[in-house]
Amino acid sequence: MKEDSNNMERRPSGPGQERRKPMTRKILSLLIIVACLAVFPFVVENRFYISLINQMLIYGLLAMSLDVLLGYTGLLSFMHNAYLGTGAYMVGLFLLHVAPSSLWVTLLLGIMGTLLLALPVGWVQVRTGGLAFALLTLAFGMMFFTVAWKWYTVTGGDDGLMGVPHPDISLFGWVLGSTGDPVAIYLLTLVVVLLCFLLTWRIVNSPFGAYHLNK
Amino acid sequence: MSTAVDILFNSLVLGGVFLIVAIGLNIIYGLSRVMNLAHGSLYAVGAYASVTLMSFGANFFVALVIAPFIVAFIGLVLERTIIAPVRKRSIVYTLILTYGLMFLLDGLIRYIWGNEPRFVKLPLFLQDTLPILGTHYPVYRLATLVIIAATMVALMLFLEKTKTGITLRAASTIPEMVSCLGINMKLVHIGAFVLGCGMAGIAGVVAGPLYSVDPTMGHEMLISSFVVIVIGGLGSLRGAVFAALLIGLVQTLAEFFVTDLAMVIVYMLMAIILAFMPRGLLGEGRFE
Repeated sequence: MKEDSNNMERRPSGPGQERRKPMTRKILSLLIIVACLAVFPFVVENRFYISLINQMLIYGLLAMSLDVLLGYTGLLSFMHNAYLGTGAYMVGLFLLHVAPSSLWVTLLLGIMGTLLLALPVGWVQVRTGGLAFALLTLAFGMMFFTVAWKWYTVTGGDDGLMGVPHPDISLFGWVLGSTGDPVAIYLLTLVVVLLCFLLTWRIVNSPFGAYHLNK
Repeated sequence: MSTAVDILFNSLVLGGVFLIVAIGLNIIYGLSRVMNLAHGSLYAVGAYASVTLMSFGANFFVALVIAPFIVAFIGLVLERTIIAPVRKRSIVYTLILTYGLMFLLDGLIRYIWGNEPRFVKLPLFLQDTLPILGTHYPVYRLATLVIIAATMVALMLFLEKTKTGITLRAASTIPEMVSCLGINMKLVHIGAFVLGCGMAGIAGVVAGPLYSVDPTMGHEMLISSFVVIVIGGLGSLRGAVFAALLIGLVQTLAEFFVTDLAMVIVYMLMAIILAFMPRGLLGEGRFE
């Protein structure tokens, strides 16, 4: 029992302890990891492993976002994957039906759309806490799943969305690659995950993110 | 008229199955503050156990008696090996742990029995229909009502009349006091978990012939039984009976009128109740 309470306290105070470590060492290790990941597709040219690492990065980002919720505020959400699915469906539907070639608009729309959907859901959910919150997220998650599964005309049900187009990745008129190319989409994922990591890092070390130290 | 009678009976049957699963979940939560997310999978295990027993030539009623004991034994093993070590920790630990357990059990079910749905072969006299109130209603569904009622009566007698039952009820209200009276709370926790799992097993056997037996049958049942215990109030047995009948009716009506999105209505109901009346409709629920 005593050991347990220690465990519970250790988690929230984690980031505070880490900060005492030299900052340069953390930045250096981050740079080394990113560099290794960046050269990976050019060293290992097997497309299977590139897609695999790509997926690992994506689910790593999902886990990181869940950690902001569970690790720092102690809210256990069972519908976190529902937001991943919502974003994916929004991007897929937008590319299919509205604009097949505008990547950045679509990505922005996917994020904003998911945020807009999460706002009322979260507004209801955070009225509770602990077990009630977990059960509520489970119910909402099943609701999202049922809609995606049964709304055949829009989501394609268990067939999924077929033939989502692959827009080009372009920056200020330069075409950097196509999202259909495993290496290009891998590098795009890496950049996005890195940006999200830095953003999350910034948030949890800001006054806003210091909420966890209060608990 | 006959459609209305059908809907009424169907909602009673559905509500009854919800009730048995939800009561099991409620007993476990009420006595040991563990929310067992693997409960739906244990219900599926019960259904599969009855299928296997009957493929060995056992009668349906023999399976109805034996399968719950198999599930209860699995519950005993799970409680001792997985749940007990994290009992003292925050409820988040058991939630995550039993969530993983749910996937493990589902995987095992797929591994052992395969993906394709199974159908339970009933004794001939249960396959008939009975003319009742202007409609022909399947005998098995009426038998289900009898089995559920008998289970509930037995459970109530156990909790009200036997010394063990009274201890269990006392332990759900004031665990510290019961512990002070020299009763081993470890045994109470084991008993609650095993009893709850046994209830899931009974529900699984009963539900097997009603719907098809497939690996995902536990998922919807898990959420539905959550809906029931949340609406009835966590840990409240009286509320669970009331809520199970209500949800049975709502779901049957919703499936009759909007088919595809029926479950969404049920989940919405739970979300609204939980967010705005967190102690349940009767106000008897207890949250940590």
